[in-house]
Amino acid sequence: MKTEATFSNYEMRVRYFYIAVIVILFFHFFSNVLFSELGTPALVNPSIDNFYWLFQYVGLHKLFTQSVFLPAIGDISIAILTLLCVFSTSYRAIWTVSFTLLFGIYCITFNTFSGHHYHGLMGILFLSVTFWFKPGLRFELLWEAARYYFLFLFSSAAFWKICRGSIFEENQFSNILKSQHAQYLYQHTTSYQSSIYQYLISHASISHWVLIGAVVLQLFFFVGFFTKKYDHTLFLLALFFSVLNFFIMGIFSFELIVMGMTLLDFENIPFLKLKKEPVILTN
Amino acid sequence: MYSNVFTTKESYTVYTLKVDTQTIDFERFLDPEKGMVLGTISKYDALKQTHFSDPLNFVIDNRFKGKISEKKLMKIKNALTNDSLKAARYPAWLLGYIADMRLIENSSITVLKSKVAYNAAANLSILNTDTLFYLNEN
Repeated sequence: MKTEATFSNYEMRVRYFYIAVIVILFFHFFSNVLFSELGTPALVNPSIDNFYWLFQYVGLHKLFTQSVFLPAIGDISIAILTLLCVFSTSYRAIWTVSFTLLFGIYCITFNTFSGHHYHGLMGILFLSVTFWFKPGLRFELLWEAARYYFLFLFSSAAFWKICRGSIFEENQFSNILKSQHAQYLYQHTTSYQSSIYQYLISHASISHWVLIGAVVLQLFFFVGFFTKKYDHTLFLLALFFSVLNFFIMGIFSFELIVMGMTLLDFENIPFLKLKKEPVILTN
Repeated sequence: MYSNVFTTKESYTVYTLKVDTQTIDFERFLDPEKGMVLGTISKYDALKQTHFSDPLNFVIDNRFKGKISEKKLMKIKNALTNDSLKAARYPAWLLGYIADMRLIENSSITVLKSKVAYNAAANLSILNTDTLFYLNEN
């Protein structure tokens, strides 16, 4: 007799998470920002961040950028560790902890040399910690914590805009767009995108409503603190927000959306269920 | 960051990157590499404005001066801050980085810095342009 079984929710989370990491690593490879593609950068940017200060003081930012072989070894190690996390169930704790450490070094090295501290990769870093643990209470608690953190990212963004009063300034979004797109509009005067940016900049009252819409969307994430009933809707809203963020603000925030996995219950989404190979049962 | 009130500015800073004689369109870069190129150019620009003295030195002094030895303070500053020596290496690194990712040999790089202003229809006009740096490796 043949039976069809699906992977456990835990196993599906592991697989979807590290497959998303593989996609992001490819994206960074084609963006020429992996260890071996950076060369020997000249300028550093620890900013006012004590963790970056410590990282740079002990010289970890140079570990995978200032030699011939180590950068390549670093890149290959991240790739192999990611594959091991997906496909190997033995010694998984070793692979997942090693992945977090190496990926953490990569994130901070990239931010140290890029002149700006990007937060996109932090979602992967935080969520990878949950997989240090086997299925059970510890894993579930950390997964829940990551879910609340993801909700906090969105809802606190709305909270700050309201508390600081920026949402009530009619020229706020027009001024943000002026600053955000000056470089683009300088190089592209006649594109389709330029005309959208220019329309929103010159029509402050309309762009103000776009900002209000974005804040209302972010406020929806407060609901997640009280019920999980709307988690799938919130995931779609996060995705929708990222698409708008990309097209209107020119900000690429899809890497952070990986953390939105915490809102998905894979066992109850038929098209995301991962099936095991059918096994033949004999009496 | 976007929760702060943004006031209208009289001018905005933009950059033009030329490799040999070709002007590079920043939109041809994927997001992380655009961040790497534009982020470091604006970092270099900020340093040049302070005569290559990193403002982080003041923060480090505030936190550590008088609390640790001068030798340790210098060690921290050397590790965390940029100076004219590091900045001098930057144009060659940027040229090499761009040449490597496009798999071609380049010999010169120019970065121009312009101040631009918006009119009522959100069209930009250039107020002034200066050379941020120029490097010819030949």
